[in-house]
Amino acid sequence: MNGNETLHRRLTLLSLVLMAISGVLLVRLLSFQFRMNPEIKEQLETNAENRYHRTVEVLPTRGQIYDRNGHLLAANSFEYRIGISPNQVTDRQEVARELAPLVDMPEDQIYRLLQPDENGIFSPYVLLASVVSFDIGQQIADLEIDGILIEPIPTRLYPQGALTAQIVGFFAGAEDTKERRGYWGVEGYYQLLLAGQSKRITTSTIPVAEQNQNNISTVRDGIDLVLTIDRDLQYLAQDVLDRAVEQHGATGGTILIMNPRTGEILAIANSPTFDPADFSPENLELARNQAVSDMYEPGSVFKVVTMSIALEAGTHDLSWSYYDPGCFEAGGVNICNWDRVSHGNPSFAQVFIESLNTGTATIFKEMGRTLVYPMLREFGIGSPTGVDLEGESPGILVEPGDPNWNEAQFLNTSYGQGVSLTPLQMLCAVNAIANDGLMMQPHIVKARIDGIEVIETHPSASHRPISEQTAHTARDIMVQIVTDPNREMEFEFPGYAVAGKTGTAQIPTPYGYDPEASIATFVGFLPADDPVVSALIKLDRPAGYWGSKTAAPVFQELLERLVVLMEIPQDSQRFELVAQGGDPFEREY
Amino acid sequence: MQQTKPNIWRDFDFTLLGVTLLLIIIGILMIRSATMDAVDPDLINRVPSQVQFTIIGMAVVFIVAAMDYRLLGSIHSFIYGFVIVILGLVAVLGVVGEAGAQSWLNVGLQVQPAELGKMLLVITLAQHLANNYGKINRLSAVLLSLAHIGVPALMVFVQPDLGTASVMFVVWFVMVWAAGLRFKHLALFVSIGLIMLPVLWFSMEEYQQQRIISFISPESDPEAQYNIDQALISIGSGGMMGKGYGNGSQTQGRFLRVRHTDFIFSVIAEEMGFVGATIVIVLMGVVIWRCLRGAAVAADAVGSLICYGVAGMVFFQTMVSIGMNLNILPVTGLTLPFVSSGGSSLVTMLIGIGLVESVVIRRRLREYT
Repeated sequence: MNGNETLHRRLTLLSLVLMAISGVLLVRLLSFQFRMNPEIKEQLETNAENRYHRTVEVLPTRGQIYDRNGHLLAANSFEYRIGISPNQVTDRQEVARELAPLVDMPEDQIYRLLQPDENGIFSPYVLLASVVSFDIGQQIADLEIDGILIEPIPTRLYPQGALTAQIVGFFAGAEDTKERRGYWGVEGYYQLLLAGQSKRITTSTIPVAEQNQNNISTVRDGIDLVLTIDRDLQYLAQDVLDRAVEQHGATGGTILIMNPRTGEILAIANSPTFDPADFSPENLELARNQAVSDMYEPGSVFKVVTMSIALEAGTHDLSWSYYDPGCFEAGGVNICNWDRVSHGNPSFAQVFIESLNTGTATIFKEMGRTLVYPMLREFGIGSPTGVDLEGESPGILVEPGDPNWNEAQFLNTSYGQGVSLTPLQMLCAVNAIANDGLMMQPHIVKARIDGIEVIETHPSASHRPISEQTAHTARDIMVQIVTDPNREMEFEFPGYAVAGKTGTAQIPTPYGYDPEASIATFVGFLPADDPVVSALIKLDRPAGYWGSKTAAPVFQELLERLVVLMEIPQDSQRFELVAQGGDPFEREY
Repeated sequence: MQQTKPNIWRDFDFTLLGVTLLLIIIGILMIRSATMDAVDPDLINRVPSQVQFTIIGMAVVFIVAAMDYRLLGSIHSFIYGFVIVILGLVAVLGVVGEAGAQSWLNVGLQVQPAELGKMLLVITLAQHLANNYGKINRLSAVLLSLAHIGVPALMVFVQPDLGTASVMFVVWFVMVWAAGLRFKHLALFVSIGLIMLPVLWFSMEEYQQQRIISFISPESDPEAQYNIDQALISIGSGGMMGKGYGNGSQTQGRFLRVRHTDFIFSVIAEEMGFVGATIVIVLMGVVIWRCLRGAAVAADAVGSLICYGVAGMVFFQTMVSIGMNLNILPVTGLTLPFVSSGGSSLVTMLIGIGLVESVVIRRRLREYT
């Protein structure tokens, strides 16, 4: 039993050794479970939360924008944000050398960014460039550097450039992706629809992490929009406008083309226009769409509204006439015709054919303010049209009760002074006359495309300011305005019955109206008996002053090319087609 | 030498088996918590698989206990040969496991021969040492026993499985020492060991070196450091009573990785607190104590040495596994005996318990009978 004695002796010793080692483990366990420095614990916990995870936002594709014939107006592209996880970089020098020229940062600076901090801890993410172009981003991707993080930042391409810039708006924002959004026009108005829904995923930066299951949400891409805009018509409008502005020495202008039957906006050309690729502050000033955002005193074109409400109210009819003194005083202000001379005893129609301020003022005076203002409201004067473009102005209608209102103001309104409208509001009022008294909701989106689903915008009526009867009477007078043999208007458009009205508006300044400058306007539609298109021309401060001499010939030029483009047959041919039982316009509405 | 009593179950150590079973049950419950809501099919199967191997292992305990260890000792040459052959097979046709080590053998179900081998080597080494019992104070005998364990240990080391190889050497050391290793030889081996360290280092696989490097300088390996950070947060946030079963934010939030095996102790410390962790350590201590008691009551040197070997193995693995969780030892992939998920490991450990029972029920006669 000698051997077993050794075994037993050593058993005691072994037990002591084992207990000693166990003691060490227990002390260590104790020190961790009860004496952990709260700071270290906090740091470890923060590490667990942040150091090994990164939240990435998966961006949806922004909806594209097309014109009514499928021409692309806004498409998507990418810029990239370049970052890197230094702990995954193996050769810092090499990586710094390769990236330096691409991210526009000195090589030694990149190298320093890739180093761990004084505690030997690597930053999980270092930003190298907040925005690089698509090409640079692709080049960096091709380098296949470990730990590089190339995040796409969506950008927009506008294939039509300045042509549709004020309609479409632009997509921009801070360098931070999340703040990029659409501004102005369709991009701004339909921001939420175009943007879609992004998705956030938390990814692990640990090389062999277990898959995280928290990514249940899905990306919802933005909705594509088809506009009512016709790119070719838009080009025509812009071309005519640019040449007119140059020819008449105007400071700017607008051509607005609509379909009065549906409220569709076919073209909006403004001058000056806006370059969607230029983000300088001076250029961004031009981004607003003057046709919906800028209001002006329309002047005599507004007389078509006066005419319509007078006929609608029944206080006046075609047999009405009055004595024209040339000028008369009302509310302490002289109200004069454009030529300041008497036109004798003009009839109702002649008031508008000869555009007599004394006539419209007399009509308003006879109607009385309690009758006039509600009817102007019905025409949409003083309220936004609700068009689907960002930045619409409501216009200004000064009504009894407002501190600025007085009798002179009331009578001035009858010929479009002292009342402010946007070009769109003015044309919509004319559209009501063209569309048998029914005012259609103006709109710019023809259809929304959500995946395979196409949601068409159905034309809808917004007001009925006048009856069909009134509308037809007003329309006939508007035809006479452009055809009267005594008119002083430079407008000839044989073969078509056109309804129209000129206006020469004075420009209000803080010191009264500007004696030198005017805003020349022409509104009209054709064919007068069955209108398919209406247009408004506005020239700011033309050298020729009078609308009948400046805006009217521009309207003529516009119509000459427009009827070709829109394939509107001459009236005689159209009547033949209708007689044969067809619709010359193949209309769907 | 007295004869064994005819009724062998009278001295069966039910305390040892009971405490072992308790540890296994704690293990299964913690594996369940660690794999809750898992999606990975491997993780989902962990609990059923562990239950299955527990049932197999319990049967194995009784079968091994019923076998006379002296019978096993008498065929120790065959057992030794068998160990060398299966380790050789692994080298030739083994399946590369999850960690990249070629340590699995596919025999219907995958088993790790190294696991089985280290336990069988306890029997052969015990018999070998018993055969040379009086001569262990001679250096030649010590070196011969080292060669006995060295050959299979080397085969395991090149798989590469540093953990199991080190278990084999530790078991050898415990057994040789128990058998009467002289202190001057002990000193000699410690010195040689220190001199051999660089050799060992350069013969290690890169990932093994990396584990040591990351233990010494953690920031060089973010992933390893991550695991350690998470283990320490888990243990540190457990407090006295823990966050409650299934409520450990580190465990359930999946911050803690390989939590069902390597880091099971952290799961226990987080969810069951200091109390739970201490209970596991105490139960493990009871198992080791009952094994050493076996060594004390063994009828002969072989039995005594077997018990020493098993006790040494359970202790070493427990120490390394817990030490790794507490960041005082490098990550080796050694499992916490009876508790960690893993069939081969569990069955192997239960073979060890069976061997101790086999020795205990054939103890030398009590003097009062």
